[in-house]
Amino acid sequence: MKEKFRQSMSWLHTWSGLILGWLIFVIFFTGTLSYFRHEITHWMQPETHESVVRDAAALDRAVDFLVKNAPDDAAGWLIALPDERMKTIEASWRKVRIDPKYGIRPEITQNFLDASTGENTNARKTHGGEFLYRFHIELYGMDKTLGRWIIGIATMAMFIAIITGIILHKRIFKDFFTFRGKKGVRSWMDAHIFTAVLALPYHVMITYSGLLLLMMILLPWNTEEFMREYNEMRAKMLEQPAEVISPDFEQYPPVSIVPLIADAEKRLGEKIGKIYISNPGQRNMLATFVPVRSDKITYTDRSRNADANVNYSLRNGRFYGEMRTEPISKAYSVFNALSTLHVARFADTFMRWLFFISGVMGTVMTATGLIIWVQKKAKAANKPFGRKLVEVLNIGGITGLAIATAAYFWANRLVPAYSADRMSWEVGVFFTVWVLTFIHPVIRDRKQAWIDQLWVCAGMFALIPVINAFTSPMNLFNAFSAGNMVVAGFDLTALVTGVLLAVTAVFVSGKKEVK
Amino acid sequence: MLAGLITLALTFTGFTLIALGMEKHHAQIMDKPFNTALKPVYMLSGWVILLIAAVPCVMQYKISIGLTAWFGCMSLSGSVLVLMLTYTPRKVFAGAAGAVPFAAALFLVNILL
Repeated sequence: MKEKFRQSMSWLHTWSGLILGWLIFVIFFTGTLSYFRHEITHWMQPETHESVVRDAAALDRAVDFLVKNAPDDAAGWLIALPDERMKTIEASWRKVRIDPKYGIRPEITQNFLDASTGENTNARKTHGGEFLYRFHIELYGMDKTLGRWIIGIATMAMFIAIITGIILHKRIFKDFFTFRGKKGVRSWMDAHIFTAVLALPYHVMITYSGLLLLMMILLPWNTEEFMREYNEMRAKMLEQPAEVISPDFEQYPPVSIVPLIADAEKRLGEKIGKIYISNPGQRNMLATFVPVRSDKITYTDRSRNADANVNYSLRNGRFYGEMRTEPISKAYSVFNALSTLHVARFADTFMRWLFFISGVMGTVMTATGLIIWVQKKAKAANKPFGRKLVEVLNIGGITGLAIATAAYFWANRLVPAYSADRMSWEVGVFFTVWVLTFIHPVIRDRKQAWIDQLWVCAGMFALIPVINAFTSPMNLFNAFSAGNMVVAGFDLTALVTGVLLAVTAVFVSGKKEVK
Repeated sequence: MLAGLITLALTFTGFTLIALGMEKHHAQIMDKPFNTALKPVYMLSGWVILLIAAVPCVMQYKISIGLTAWFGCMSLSGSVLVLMLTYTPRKVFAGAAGAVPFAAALFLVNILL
């Protein structure tokens, strides 16, 4: 009985892990990079790299910029203050568009202003880190709901693989620190297990919270009442479109926000991160000051990441009071805690790196799992076509994705900065390169294909600091001295990734072929 | 940041002590033969240090985020230990022993600043 149970768990682990394993790898890989999506976006806009020094007075110029440039029908403005992740002042406006399919959609136009002068940097248009982030929750080029369904199913498979993996691994504590190198499949197995066990709390948290974040889609019946109300509201909005009252900044000029920020920080005892401005140019022009982050994971408003904010009239600077989010139910605070952990908006630089490293461990865990499967099962099955197929999927899925990501960063600098359709070019390069990495192992010997792709990948990542030095005012060295740790960190991480991939390539070349 | 480094250092020491309580890893780290009588001492002190390691992070980040940071630190320092046991097992002891004064020094810096 007991053996039978283990066998069935083993079967479940293998197949739940395998069938969607490549997808799970893609989710882990792009999701892990998403911890740094703002940093990636900043790197991908070299026009903003020189914005390092922060000057409070520049924030008033951000308001002036919005007064001059925001369209009359903008429903609201946002000014995001520079911090350790974003070196520029973001000055954006939001229009409300009614989409017949998705309902009320905000249409956001972002502008990045220099943090010392408040001048528009005219940064190139790019999806930046947002592309990788979107890819990990809804894939690309398909209906969003369908994409989220696919991701949700893969997440469920991941969750099953984790639970069955725990049951299968009898010697969790005995083998806690075990890694035996240079032993073929045994080494892959050890690597799979130690990355799984040592970051197990993370893996369980990230997978389960991922499911929770998709629950409205995966369990649609629960939300019928909510959907009914939403549809009624939408029907009303479609019936009676909001009246646009043109702003009049002559009559209602905005006051300086600099003293308001100081007052808001004093009242909240926290640094202000974002300022939302509603009814711009109206009598009731209102500014909402939201602190950077909260120090707990429950009871936070996830979208704004804080449970208190303060409001001022932007017409005369009068304090309008403090808003606290209402206490929420226990169930909702559990959901909040898990989803807050998933997106990790609270994380400072140190915590962000810890999350990133745990994410890398999950990525390695899925990759090694796929490699073990091919080495053990596919070999035993003795079906040449099937084995070649999974090999090709492994190579293109693992090293191929890394190459495509590097190519995305390269395309960011090689596609002309102001060409009209550069955003689709960047994404096009990503997918074209990715497809090529699946074709390459078809025509190449499997071991040689691994080595080729590892070297290409190593070279492309290691050269990122070089390409940055030629296409940005900042390079690895002067970014350090100027204090732009985002660009310096990106370049350095790319360089280290390249070196590690090269070491892996050498290691794989030296290894005997497992036939 | 400093609190995080203290937790990282202490979790490394805690994990090393636990590894010293296991015959297989004891042989990797030390020249001396494994003394079974010391096993509970290693284990207990390792667990205690692991638990203490949570304190700096909890003090810095408050309870919920602090414990999250503690788990993250354990994943990282545990991985470092696993890789060191394979590739440079003889440096583990020096690392774990050095981590304690390192953590203490950081703690002092944290208090004085």
